[in-house]
Amino acid sequence: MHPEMDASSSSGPDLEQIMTRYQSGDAAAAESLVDLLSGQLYFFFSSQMGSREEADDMLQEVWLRIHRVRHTYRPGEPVLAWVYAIARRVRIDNYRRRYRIARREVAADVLPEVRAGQGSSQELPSFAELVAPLPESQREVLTMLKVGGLSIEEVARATSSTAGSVKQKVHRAYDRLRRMLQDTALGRARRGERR
Amino acid sequence: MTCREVEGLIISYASGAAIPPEAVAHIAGCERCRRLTQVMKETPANAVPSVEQLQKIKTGMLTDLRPVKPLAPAGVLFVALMFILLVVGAVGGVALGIAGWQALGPPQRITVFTSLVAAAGLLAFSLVQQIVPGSRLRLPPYVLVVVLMGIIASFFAILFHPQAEPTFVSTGLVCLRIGLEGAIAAGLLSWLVLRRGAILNPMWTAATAGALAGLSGLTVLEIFCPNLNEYHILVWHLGAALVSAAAGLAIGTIAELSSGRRTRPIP
Repeated sequence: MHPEMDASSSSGPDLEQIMTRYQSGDAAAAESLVDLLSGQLYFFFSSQMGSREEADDMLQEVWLRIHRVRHTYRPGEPVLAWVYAIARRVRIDNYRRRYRIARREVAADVLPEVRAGQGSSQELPSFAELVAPLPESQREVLTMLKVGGLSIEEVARATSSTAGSVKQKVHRAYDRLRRMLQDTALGRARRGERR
Repeated sequence: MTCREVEGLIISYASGAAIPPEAVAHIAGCERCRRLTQVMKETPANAVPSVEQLQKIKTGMLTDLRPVKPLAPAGVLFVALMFILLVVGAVGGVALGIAGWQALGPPQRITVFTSLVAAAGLLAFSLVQQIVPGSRLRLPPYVLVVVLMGIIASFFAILFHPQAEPTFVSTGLVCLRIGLEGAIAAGLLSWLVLRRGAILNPMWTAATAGALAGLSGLTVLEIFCPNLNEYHILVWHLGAALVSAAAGLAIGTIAELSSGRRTRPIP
């Protein structure tokens, strides 16, 4: 996992301690929290929305909300589930805002933007490219698991659903990813044959 | 090992955990699982916020950084919400009289008030969970509200019987008004408790709070109103609770829609 995104190594007691210190007004703890979680939150937003500007705005908004409701974190509870529940809300609000703006604008026949690849020479598509075609709910759950390093239980808490429902979404997402990966491999093999 | 069984392990693997030998054997022999594992293990590389952006966020947070008192434990908030129900019921009883309580037979009394307190308890518990982000919600709030209202309606339908009532609408409207007054009082008091938390889903939190406040109004009516006509109770008494829940839902929807419009940048 990317070092700047890796909060899983500091999840559990460490992240909880930092959060508790942040609640008690420790400036260093606030900065540590921003450093530890911003990378994965940024990826969470950009993989859901695709635009860098929007991800920037949402990252700023999520920290503003975290700061405003920091007293609602209860020591001993999973920090990541708390953070991602807020991040998810920010994303929903942003989505609504975007939808409202889009409704007012004249619809243009533009195909959805395809994210830039990590280089065509790579054998496999990147995680972001791979999850882009998935339904939003599956992409969200998978991003929380993979990038955020949340457990199934934590994802269930963050999305206000049950662990069973999260498992089902993950299973469907994996099923789809397997098929997509197979298609990618087949397509590559066919191109190789033609050459 | 099947592909399905390997899925759970792929998640752990993606987070850096070791993968058991039997899963390794499966992955080695299964092309699809091998590719999936590889992708899940890969690092997403293109998502790093700029240093300036992080600095701006930190500066914004540090300018307003002061110690905060963590939210009261869930038990305290639960007791506070239930206390509001009791206070509104007691004040209603003192102000309006307890003719309804006296008109009920012991089985009706026990069933009506036990179901009201139990339903209020479940709604209060759900509210306490809803105002803390990342809480474990065992049942979606809308399911809870609908199911509880349905159960109460069923109990009332079983316990009471239709009676002739020439002034059905006029007496009913009086009860509806009293029920809604009780609900408004309980709703305002509950807001004082709920505003301490973080309301992430205003629509459902307000609907749940409205339902809880509505049950307070319903409790007042069951204590005060001696009318045992089944239709009167179902339409006007339970109606007060339903109107209160619907009002909560409407207020929450407005709050939810307006929250999407606001953007407050960090200075």
